Amino acid sequence: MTVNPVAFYVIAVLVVATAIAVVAVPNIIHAAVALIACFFMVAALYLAIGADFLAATQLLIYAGAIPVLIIFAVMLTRGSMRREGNSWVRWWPLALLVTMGLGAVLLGVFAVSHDRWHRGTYPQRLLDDGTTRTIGDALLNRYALPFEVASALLLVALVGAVLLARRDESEAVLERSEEERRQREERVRHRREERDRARRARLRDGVSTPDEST
Amino acid sequence: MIADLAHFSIGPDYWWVVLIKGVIVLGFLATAAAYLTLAERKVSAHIQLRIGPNRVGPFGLLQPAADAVKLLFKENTAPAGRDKLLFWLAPALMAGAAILAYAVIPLSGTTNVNGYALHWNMAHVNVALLYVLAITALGVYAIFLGGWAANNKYSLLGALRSSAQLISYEMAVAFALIGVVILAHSLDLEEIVNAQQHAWFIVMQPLAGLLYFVGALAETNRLPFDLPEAETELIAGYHTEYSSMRFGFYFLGEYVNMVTVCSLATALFLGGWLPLIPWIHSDWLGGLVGVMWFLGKASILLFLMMWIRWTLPRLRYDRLMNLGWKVLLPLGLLNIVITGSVVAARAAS
Amino acid sequence: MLSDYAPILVFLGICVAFGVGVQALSAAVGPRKPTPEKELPYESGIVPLESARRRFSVSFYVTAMLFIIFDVESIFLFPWATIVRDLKIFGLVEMGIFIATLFIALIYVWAKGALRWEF
Repeated sequence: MTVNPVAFYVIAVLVVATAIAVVAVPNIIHAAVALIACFFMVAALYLAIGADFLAATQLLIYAGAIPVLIIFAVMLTRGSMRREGNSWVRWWPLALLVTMGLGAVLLGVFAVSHDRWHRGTYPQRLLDDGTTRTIGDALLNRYALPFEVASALLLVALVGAVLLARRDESEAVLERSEEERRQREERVRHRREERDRARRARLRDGVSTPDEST
Repeated sequence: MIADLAHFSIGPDYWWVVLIKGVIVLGFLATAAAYLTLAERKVSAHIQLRIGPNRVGPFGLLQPAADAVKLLFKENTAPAGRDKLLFWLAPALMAGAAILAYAVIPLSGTTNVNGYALHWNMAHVNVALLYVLAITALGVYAIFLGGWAANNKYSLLGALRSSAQLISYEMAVAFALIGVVILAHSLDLEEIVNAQQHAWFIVMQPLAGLLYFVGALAETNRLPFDLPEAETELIAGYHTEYSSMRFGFYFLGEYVNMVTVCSLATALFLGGWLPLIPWIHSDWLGGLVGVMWFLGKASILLFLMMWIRWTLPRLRYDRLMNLGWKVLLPLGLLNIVITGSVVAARAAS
Repeated sequence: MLSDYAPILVFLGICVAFGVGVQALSAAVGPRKPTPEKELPYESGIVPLESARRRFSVSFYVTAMLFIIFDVESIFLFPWATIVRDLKIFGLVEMGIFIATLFIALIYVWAKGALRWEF
């Protein structure tokens, strides 16, 4: 099976474009949206090479679940979502360095194992029946041990998540939030007075009542 | 070049067949959603001993059209602090994701029309079940981003509650469906329906069916799980600030999602298009009768959803999450273990 | 393979056209008369004090984390479910260990109170 070059290049350009958007847009929530789009395109790339189950997984886990966690994590750590929030833009030389290092590693792997990339021919059976059963077979027979290790890995991840969340609820945080609350109340009282005064003035002047604006 | 592309991209179907099917599915879903709003108002009215809308057309049958036109001509109010891009994108994503998920649901068995194999869905794919799950899962972004973009406190609360609710119940739904996959040993919806020739899966998987239906109610934000909207406390929740057609899109998405989950439940548990009264299923007429059976079964489920909405009160949020994580999820795992054991034991003996 | 999904691509195009077209039509035919009051976020008639975009409760983060872990588990379960008939008892035992591990995880989270919602 060969990949249609037109389809491949269209998808590849979109993957790269959305990936650049993720790091380039200033608003971090917009970056998350670009990330979802990027994951979507990668799923299309998997489809292009005939890996339908992998594409569904990519959609379900990467496009459907990971960004939820990222968004929640962002909202958890930042007090409020400021528009100029994406501070990574300032660190782009470092990011470039890391990316180039990663790229070098990938190219190295590719160079070392170059002849293997051509050896694998894609059986027609997989194209007709889909890859789900084959993947299941491989997971539960040939790669049974890594499969079980994966469950242990998930367990560790879960324990880690719970511990992280617990620590955040520790007393130091509670104290800080108490302090924050007091400050906020003060600020709120101050602002309410200010705004109500402004609003009353505005309404009195009749600048913006609906009747007169028409 | 264009011809090349067309030849490459449309595999088993002609491109114009695909186009016609696409327009039909979109039209069907939009009409179904519109008339479900009327049905909902009629059902609620009769449950509350009222008559319901009856002024626009006979029995109020033109009411949905009047509503649509009215929505279209309304002002698009928008709060000043909104996120301009997402405020525009989120409602469209809600409707779009809901509609897109329907592409792989087979309304009838493959029919032979003069030697041409007619599929009664947009696309016949091997991992159809996962596709539906993955695309409907995108609805969570429409709700979260929509609520966040509006910069309204009710909206953000609704969006937060809703996204946590949706992801929790997505698990319950996925685990409930695995029991069906074990029995059908396929992710292809058409094969799953065909595996029910002898008995519908609701007979063999009653627990999974119940779990799926409860999960589906939560996934579509229907009562008793409508906390994201909660009219009395959150003032419509994530779509408080949306008006005109943007509100219309959220509404459309919600009702199309209802159609999708009921259709999926029909295909997975109620034998899809398989008739109760035997019918020779080969020509296009047979296929059409299959569609009737399918939609009939789905309609009963839709009515059930409305009935539940106008009968049960809303759950409290902590109880909602408890039900998802502490009841539905363990029960789903139990169902997988039991079903897997029975199937493996029977295969071994 | 990709060609099986091409109709979905066509359908995606139809959906996008629908989403953009209807919003554009609505913007074209609907009135647009913004006033400062109309542009305030709706808070039941009270003047809003500050931005709605605030920190969340940590419970939401834990829920998302749990969601991802169980989502990954379900993705492992689907291919297993399609071939459990052929794998017979061996596959069942393997998956039994896998499910048991994650069930322990669920019980751990439960016991730690991470599933408790308090306000």
